[in-house]
Amino acid sequence: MKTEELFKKYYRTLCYYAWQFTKDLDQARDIVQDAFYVYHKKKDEISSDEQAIKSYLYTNVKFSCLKVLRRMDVSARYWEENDFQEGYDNEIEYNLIKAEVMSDVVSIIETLPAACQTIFRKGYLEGLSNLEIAQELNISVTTVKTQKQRGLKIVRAKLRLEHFISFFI
Amino acid sequence: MSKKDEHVLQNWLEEKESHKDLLSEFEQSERLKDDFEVFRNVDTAQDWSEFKKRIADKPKKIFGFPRLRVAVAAGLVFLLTGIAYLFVFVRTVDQKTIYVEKKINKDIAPAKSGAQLILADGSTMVLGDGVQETAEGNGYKIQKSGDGIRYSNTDHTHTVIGTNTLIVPKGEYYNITLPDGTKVWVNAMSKLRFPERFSSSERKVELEGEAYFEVVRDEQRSFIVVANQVNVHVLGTAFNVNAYNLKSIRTSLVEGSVKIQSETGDTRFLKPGDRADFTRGTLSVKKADLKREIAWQNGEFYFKKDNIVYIMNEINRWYNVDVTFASDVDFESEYFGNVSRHEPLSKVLDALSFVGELAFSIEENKVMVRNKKK
Repeated sequence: MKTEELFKKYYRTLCYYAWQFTKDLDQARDIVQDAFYVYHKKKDEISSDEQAIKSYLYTNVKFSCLKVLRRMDVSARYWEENDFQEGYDNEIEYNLIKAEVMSDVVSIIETLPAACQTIFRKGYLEGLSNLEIAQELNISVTTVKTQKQRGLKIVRAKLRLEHFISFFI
Repeated sequence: MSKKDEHVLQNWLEEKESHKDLLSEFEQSERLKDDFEVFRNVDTAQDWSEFKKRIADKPKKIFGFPRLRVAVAAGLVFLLTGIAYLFVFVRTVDQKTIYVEKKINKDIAPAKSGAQLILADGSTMVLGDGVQETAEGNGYKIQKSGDGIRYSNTDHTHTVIGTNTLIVPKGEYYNITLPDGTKVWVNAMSKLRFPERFSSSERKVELEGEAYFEVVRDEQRSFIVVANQVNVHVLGTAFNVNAYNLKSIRTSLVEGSVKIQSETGDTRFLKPGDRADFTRGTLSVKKADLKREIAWQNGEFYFKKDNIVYIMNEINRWYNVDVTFASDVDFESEYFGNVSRHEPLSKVLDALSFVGELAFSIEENKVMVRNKKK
């Protein structure tokens, strides 16, 4: 698989994965680009199987993040903020699962019908109230509510059936 | 959901406590706002085109390190050479040699507090250190206060309301407190027009250039900044308006909320951390890099992926110098870094020269930019 293809497929998800640790998007982007850089240089030594490459990238990003956290001495803060209970490894695995699922959710949202998508984004992602959305788009509050519900329904259904389950089982 | 799917989901949920947390987190989607924002802010195509350059076979970067580490390395070199600079400039593009060329004869001081105020009757008041600091207009008084001036009303009976204009030239900046108590930081090469007294229905000011506003809350009278074709409406809030480039007016919100209205009829609401751009007749909202947008108000130059033309434009306004580029200057290179705006010009240019391949010379009030000799 070409580096470009892999980059376009996994870059955003990996950035989000790294961001969960560092909480700094620019730094996350640097870390992920470094991981792709290392992969690109060592391409010949790594299996060409996509799953193998994917776990190579995830692992690389994970270690860079933990290294950065240690260096910046913010790991304590990270664990505090993230309600550290189940243990280091579980938390890291959770971040990984969340990154995969979030990435699926974002792709599903991107497939929603345009009007539904706009309202869904404004409501759930930008945090606007129904009234604010209605005023901004010059539509009724009822329409906003209906579209939001419709979007949520589609996302939940697709997430559970197509993505959520097939991915983990 | 079919029976089978339901069963699978149930198993998955029971398998681990964390799976259940995950599902419930999705059901309270407002908790994930920041997370979605991250996806929204990653521009894969843009980063790919940047990354592509990095993996293309080009001469090795200095020390072969990515840019963050270059910053650290450059910082160390600074310390080792005993130069107590408080800043680090970093360049993304490859460097082969590092040397600073000293061609600076006379230094140029940073911008100082100063401006001209044109009163309604046409008289001019020179503002700044050690000059006249009080004046009386039609029913109001102007007096020095801290770093700027303050308006106070002495008489509300005047019905004719004139306009005052604050003119801040290149090489100066000014802080002003308007008649309603709103504080405005006006950047170099900017103009602010406002009435002697605000009306009871609205508080309207006009801006050319750049200013940072901290608006005093007044539910009855919204505060409106008119910048060319854009109106910014607020009740009480802190934000920055950059209208240096009339083709691209940027409003960045620090706190509170504002409504942006363009002449073309577009209306957008901003949340703190948002930035509205009015470019070529369209209004768009994106995430602001607040550190960068209000760096000037915090007394800093802050560059991020900026080319030398952008940087020298800022320097031109702040130090009031003319800038000439030699034909061999590379306009594509991008610079990262921050420098205090209170440093003399030579310090800033030294830093730029240190990280890049450019050399600078100052003659009178002219700066010449060219490539270092190979």
